[in-house]
Amino acid sequence: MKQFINNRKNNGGWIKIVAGIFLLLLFIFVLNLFSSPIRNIFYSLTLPIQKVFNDSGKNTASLFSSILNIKNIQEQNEYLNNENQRLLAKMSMMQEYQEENQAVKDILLCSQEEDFKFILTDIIGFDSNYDIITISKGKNDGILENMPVISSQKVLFGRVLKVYNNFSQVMLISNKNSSVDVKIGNMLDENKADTGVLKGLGNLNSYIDLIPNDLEVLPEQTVFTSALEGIFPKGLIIGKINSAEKNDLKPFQKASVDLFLDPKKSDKLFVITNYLKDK
Amino acid sequence: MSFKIIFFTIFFFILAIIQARFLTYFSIWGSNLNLVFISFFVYIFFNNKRSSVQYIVNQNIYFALLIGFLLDCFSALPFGVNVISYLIIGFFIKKMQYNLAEKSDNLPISYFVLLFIITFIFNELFLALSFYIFNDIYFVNLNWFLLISFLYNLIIACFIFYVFKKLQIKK
Repeated sequence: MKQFINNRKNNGGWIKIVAGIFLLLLFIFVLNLFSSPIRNIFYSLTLPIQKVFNDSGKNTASLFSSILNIKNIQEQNEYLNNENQRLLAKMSMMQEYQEENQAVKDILLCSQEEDFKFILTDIIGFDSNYDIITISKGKNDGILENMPVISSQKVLFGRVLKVYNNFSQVMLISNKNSSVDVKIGNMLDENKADTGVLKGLGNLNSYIDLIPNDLEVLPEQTVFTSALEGIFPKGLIIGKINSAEKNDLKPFQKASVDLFLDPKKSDKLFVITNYLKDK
Repeated sequence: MSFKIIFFTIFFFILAIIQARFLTYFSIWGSNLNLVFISFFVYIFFNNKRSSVQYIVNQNIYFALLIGFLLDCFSALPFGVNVISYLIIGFFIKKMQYNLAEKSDNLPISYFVLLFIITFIFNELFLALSFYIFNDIYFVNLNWFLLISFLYNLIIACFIFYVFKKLQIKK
């Protein structure tokens, strides 16, 4: 009799556990069924608090980093002063090439700027674990997945990963899943520029792979988009070459890149809305 | 609903926003402080007195669901990943505590550190596996980043443990 009661108690416990698991799965299923509106409502309701914490985080971090890097700033300042003088000297030497270069530049700028429509947006969140930022514009503003996101200085940040009604998530080019066709070298004469594929390393770092081994990649060379993958327009600035890693046994070389993007210092970004549609 | 539940609901809500929007700017070598995980762990670890077992279990389930939901809202993963992870962690801590409690003092630091190591690594691996399965972003760093992240979080967790322990002794 006692065993019978125990068995019944055990059965009751198992039924509770199974029912609990079933309810949990149902709960998760419903959440995923309405994933987009749930996330959108959550973001819309908490946006003011999120903005407050995001802005204060950004400001506090930049304050700390400037205190911690005061020595570096002094060194950087000195380096920039020297660089400035060097560039001024170079500029006067290059004056004669200005006219012919201007024509090429104009064509490039026309193809880049005049046809594109931008949407101005704020960064409302940055996930440093996965190199994803959240921006304040979404489906309601005409944003679609894979649209390129740039800064006012035409620095490429990444592409729109997920779109919700009132906000979007942007995958930075430093994200490990990101892969962008790039050119290295002279922006004004693309024939002189080397090609490669920029791959994300996470934590705001990237490197360029698949650079042909016979090409010479030098530090400080500019890296910009080549538009081969069809997501990003050509000529968007990405960063500077830090160092190149050449191995004669391999057909391609790699190069580490100092990216210009910095979500911690940028507030406003632009989404190019018509590049994908045109494609 | 008791005052304690309401207080901790608001507390975890604000903490989730702080973690997603504030602490993300203070990473050390790419590792972030997982304050929500630490707080949930400490809450579950110390939530074992003056109530019936069923009441504690219900509370733990409620907070695991709440925290999981909040973290899933900020995550690029489908809903449910953090919910399941936190539910498993909550059950595991309680189960281990009931098994270990008979042997010695109820809340020694050694149990705390041991359980923290197991649950933290489980949480990281579970998230990494989820990212891999859903192939949304990438397989999370499971190299020295995990070690730094683990040490960073463990130090803060131990500090919070001593604060809670002192508060408990005072009570």
